[in-house]
Amino acid sequence: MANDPTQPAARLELSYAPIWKQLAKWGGLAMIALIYFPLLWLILLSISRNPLGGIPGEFSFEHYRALFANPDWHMPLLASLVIATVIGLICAVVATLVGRALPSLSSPGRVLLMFVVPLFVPGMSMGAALFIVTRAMLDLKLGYWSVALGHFVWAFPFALLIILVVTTRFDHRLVEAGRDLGASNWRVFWDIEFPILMPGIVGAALFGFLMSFNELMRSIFLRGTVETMPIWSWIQAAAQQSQVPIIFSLASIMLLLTLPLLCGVFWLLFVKLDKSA
Amino acid sequence: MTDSTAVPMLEVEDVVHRYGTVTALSHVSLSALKGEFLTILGSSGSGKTTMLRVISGLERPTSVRRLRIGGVDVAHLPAAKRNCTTVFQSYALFPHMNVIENVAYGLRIRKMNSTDALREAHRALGMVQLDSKADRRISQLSGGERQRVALARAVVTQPSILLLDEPLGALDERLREDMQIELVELQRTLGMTFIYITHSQEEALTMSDRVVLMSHGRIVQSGGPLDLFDRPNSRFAAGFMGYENILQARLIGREGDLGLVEFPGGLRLQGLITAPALDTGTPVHLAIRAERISALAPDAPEGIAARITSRVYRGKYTDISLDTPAGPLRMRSWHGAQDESREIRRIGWSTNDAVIFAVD
Repeated sequence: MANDPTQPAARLELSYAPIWKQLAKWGGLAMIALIYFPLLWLILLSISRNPLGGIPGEFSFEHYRALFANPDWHMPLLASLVIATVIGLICAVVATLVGRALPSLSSPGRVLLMFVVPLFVPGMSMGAALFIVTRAMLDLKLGYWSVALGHFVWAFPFALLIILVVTTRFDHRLVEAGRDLGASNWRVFWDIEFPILMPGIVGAALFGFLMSFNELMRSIFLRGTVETMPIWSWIQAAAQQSQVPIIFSLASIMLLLTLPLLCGVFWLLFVKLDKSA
Repeated sequence: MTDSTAVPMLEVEDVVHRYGTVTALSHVSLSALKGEFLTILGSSGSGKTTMLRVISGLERPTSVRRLRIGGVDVAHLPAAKRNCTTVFQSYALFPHMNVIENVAYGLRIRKMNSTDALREAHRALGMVQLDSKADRRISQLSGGERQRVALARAVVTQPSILLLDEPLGALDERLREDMQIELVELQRTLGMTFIYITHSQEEALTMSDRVVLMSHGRIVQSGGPLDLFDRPNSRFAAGFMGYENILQARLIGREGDLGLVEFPGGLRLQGLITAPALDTGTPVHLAIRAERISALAPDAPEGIAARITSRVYRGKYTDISLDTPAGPLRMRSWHGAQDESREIRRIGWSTNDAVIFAVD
């Protein structure tokens, strides 16, 4: 068998077979279906009379009416929006500072790894650890600030990675050219570096916002008695089945508001404003 | 009024610069007059770019005794406050600004009002024949056009000194030759002091009023283009300036600049001594350019005997390798000349074309 001359040829055939391209194509389509079908189904169920049945049908907006009649979720939503906005801004500023400095270090890989470890630490562990330090060790009263702290630790690595995409590509000779033409360090930053890093900075803010807005695990440990949107939804869904339909409605509204918004922001950043390409 | 051409625009004295344990500049002094085209010539690692960065202020030297631009002490001033601008090798154009915004940037920094700044920027662009592309984005320009934008951006603020860091390095040969001429014309028009960095001896010879040859962080030789081309005073300078034949001999007599050397086989030849203070009896090099050697009649009284070992056709010329009592030599015969194909028994050259300097 080892001398069979047809053997390598046959293997070659398989390697060049069109099936791989087909497999990739259909696999990709299946992935896309897996992402968007549940979202579409959620929206359909949110406007169904009996959403817990799992099959859309007998459409009505009664759960939306119930949602708007219920003021309980206003505060958690407001809290989430404020915390997420603050975290987004802080992430943008801190990640920009760190992201500009990192590439010029002698061993940036090691430092970067230390910064991004929170990505791999289980939310439970990070939440518990922060809880122990703030509540048990420092004896502080937990609240929105501690939730925000947990969110920052969680969101910062994402923001940093996004900033690094633009800072590592940034050509420092442009800074020298700016100085050479007479610009102070401040002017060089605002006139040259900032506009070129801008897509990354906004991306970092956006990711900081999203990571914070969706965060649940760390918030559970650090919330004290306050509620954010994910905590409220989780409590509602866990405690009373009757509340589930209005959570479907709320989730649908969030989806329909944020998705186009994000698409718009990204389009603005990478298509409309990006002059560097 | 004083004679403005005698004003030293740039004075650098005894600059030393080290990167860690590597010495990039070792006690270098340099000066340039107003309106002078000074070229710093050297291979990569010679310290020429470091020298430029020290002048521009982008690099703070380890030590410097004196650093003046236009009579102003700038040793402790940051790059932004020095009256000189740089045309970078990479051009370093701002990708998020269009052509005219790039050119006007230096004026904007100087708080010139925007109407005047725009007018000046257009004028500078006109000077490099690029006014029609003022609104283009940088990514839409060719390499040669980017080079011109970089040039316009650097001269628009009318600095005392323009520093050019191998600005033509990235261009193709044809464009480079055109730009060499344009740069010299621009320099004459502006009357600005140009400090030009290059590794190309051809560029240095074509454009400069004065050439400074650097190697290993030191100035090896400086002078007019002709001095460097025809009167190298060291092994390195001769090699860098393209001397194909650098022979070993011993100086056995001198009379003024004229020296007599003896080769190991006993052959004696004359040449011009370019290095001062060369004593008789010391080992020396005698160097001669391949194209300055010509064939003589076999029975000619002057010259030396030669035997052809190989011929290499190189298009515009043919390189002929010869065996001679002075050692192996290379002579160059231009295309169409007789020597290209005929037998050669004896060769010679003008005494002025052979230079003698010390063995390093």
